[in-house]
Amino acid sequence: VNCLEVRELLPELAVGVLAPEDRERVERHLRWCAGCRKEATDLGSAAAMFAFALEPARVPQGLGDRVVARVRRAAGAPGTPRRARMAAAAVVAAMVAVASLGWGAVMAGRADRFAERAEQAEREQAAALERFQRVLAGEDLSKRTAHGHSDLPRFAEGGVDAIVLAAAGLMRLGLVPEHAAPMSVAEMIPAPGQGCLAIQARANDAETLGALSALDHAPTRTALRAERSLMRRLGGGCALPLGALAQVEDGRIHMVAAVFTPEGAREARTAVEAEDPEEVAALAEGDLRAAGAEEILAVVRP
Amino acid sequence: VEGLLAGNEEAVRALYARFARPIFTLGLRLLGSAEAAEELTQDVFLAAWRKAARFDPSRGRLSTWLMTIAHNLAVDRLRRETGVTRPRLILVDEIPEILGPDEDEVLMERDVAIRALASLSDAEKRLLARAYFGGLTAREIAEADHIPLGTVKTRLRTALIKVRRANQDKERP
Repeated sequence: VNCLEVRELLPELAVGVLAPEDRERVERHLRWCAGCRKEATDLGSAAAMFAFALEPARVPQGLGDRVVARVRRAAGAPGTPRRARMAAAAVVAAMVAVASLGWGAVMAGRADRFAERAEQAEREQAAALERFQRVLAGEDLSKRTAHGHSDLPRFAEGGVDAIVLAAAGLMRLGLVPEHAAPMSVAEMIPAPGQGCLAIQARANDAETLGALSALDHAPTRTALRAERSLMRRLGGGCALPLGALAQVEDGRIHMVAAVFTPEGAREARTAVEAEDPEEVAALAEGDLRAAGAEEILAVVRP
Repeated sequence: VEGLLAGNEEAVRALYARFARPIFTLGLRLLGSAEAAEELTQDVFLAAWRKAARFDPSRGRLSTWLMTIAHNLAVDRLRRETGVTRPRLILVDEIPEILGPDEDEVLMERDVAIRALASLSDAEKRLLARAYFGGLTAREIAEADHIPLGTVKTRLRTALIKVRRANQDKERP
């Protein structure tokens, strides 16, 4: 499934009426696609409002004890082989979690710490994503950094040394912080299709198509085709850590492209040119694969 | 292992204190009987305990996560047992369990939810409720109302986004 199909199914996922087979497909996609995951989260928390808004019913006496007893039974006192296996599985799950998000203590801790850790893990995860873009710039900002517009006030107060922001967002806000320096394309290659606007019309509606043709910007269309072709060739959706920028000059398409591991430790990079969008994408694909793109992408694929 | 399990028990109790009531309430609303709601509540905490390590905070808050588990389990059960049903709201008259100071948080959560839902039109509320509480799929709603499937999907999405936006304004002033 691609992002478009998934987005169409997300409202039904949120209200819990997606058919099981669709649910599975969507969940699989959400495991690796951060963009769709964000939307699913937003819609899901909106739907949950309906549950939280209900007039609270009274909980039967002793249900808490019964819940704990049930969990305890599932956890299993050491004894039967099956129970022992499940307990072992719980330990393994906890240890795996320690390695990834520091969840071990959480499992053994109280629920309020649980929530605290959850928040911390959330911050760490967000930081990990942003880190990859900063490492990309080849600078060591590991000491005290901030990212995102919500950190602007902290930045202004001198709480951080550097901050990476989207220029478009700043312009919309009418803010250009002092000492701001734009990042070059070499430092930060945009995502495929970034900045392109597409307008859709019915294929058989000649009148609308005619009106729209005045808006068509051929070089942008060509560049977009090249970038999207490369994304498809690498098996990508919107969460692929791929940067690709094609530019048309004197009838030739120049493309820079790169893939990264999420933390930015490894990358494969190329710059190619050709006359045809498919051709330039194929060249870039060949270069990136030769430079180890497959190994890098294996990290982010499900 | 014993220590880990003991720790888990504490975690389950604390989770229970905070979320048992809304979960039980949802169970009652969807499944229609106190017995079924109790069973659902147990199932939810068991599932939460099993999936705890897989809880992904980047996918939302703990409360939403638990409620999603609860809702999915309840809807699955409804569909399995009765096909599509219209569950009734049943009020139980039993002595409430003392939930302690976390009670306030439950009420606050409800307050936030009610205010977020106030952003919806009556038609939007009805539409979402038919899906969320009635278990009707977009296709079933489209067929019942004789409107295109795409329209139902779009309306569901629009309504959810409205709620989300209203809620976000509250969260981040």
